[in-house]
Amino acid sequence: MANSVQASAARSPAASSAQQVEPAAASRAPAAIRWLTIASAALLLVELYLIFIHAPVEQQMGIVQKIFYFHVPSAYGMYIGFGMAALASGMYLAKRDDKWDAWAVAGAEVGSIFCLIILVTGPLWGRKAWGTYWTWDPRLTTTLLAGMVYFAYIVLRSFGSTGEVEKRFAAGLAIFGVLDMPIIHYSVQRWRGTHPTVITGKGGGLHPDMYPALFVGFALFTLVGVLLMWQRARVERLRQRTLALEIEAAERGLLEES
Amino acid sequence: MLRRFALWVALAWFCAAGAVVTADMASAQDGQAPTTASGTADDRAASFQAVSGGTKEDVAGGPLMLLAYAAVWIIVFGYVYRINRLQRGVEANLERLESSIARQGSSV
Repeated sequence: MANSVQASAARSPAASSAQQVEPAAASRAPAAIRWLTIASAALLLVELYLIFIHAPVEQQMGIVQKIFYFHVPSAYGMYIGFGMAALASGMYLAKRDDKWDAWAVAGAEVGSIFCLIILVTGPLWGRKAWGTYWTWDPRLTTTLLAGMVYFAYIVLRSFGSTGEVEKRFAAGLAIFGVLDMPIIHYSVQRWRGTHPTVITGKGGGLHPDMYPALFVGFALFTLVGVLLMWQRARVERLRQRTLALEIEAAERGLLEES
Repeated sequence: MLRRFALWVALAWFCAAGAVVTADMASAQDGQAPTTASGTADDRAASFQAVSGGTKEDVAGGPLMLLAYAAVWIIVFGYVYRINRLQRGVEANLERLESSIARQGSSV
């Protein structure tokens, strides 16, 4: 049905196009999204079992180390979200297709959600590990910087009906923001900070029973990230078409009486 | 209804977080130095190993872990709620457009 909305929006007469739109059907999620949701819920149950029953309590930090199994996959989810925002923004600048703009918005929002999870769970872990909630460690600082760049993107995009210039500026901002990702990733290797390096080359690794929870966490957050981005991009596409129809209908004086 | 529930949950999280942080600050004012997990900083940063025998915690990790997990749920479900609300708004706009067009079509 989303295709019929797309096709109808492409035609110029507002009346004929809008008459083909069935809101309830247009917003109905495709079967793939429903299956992905079920798979995510199942994986979440497996993940909770692995974290709280299978994985042992850590020797030095105790139970608070279990934050790690959501914190690290969230960072991975953030890379996926911000990566998608930058990629889709690049495609938008190259092709000027609103489809890519919708994916850029979705990527930036979902990446920011994961970034927020990192910035909330990390300090709670840090209180136990470092004795303080926050320290200006290179990885923490660069992650905060990425969050601020994409927060600026979301603020820019939330100014009502965004014009072409704002969309292009926002696309530039998303591409600029992604340059911070390799800096975040390699900061713990390049600069000696306090952030753990457990799963990098320099680290001593995990206890063997901790790996399943971490790997399922990566799979779960990848699935949830893709699911959220897909659904958000669908809603954004629908919103773009509704706005286009609204403008067209207003030009024809159809909205004056409503 | 759902919005009010979400606000209450978020408020409860902030209250709990505030209580944990305040308790931390109070213990610091009592002259206790900030305590951390055992072992050297390098040990904690480079590897995670399983505990053997009983554990003795200087800082209670349970409330910190609960706050972190609650935050993950609140943030993710808050975002799902936002997408849902946005979708309903778009649907309402589509219906409004449809009815105005239908009205104009019937009057012509």
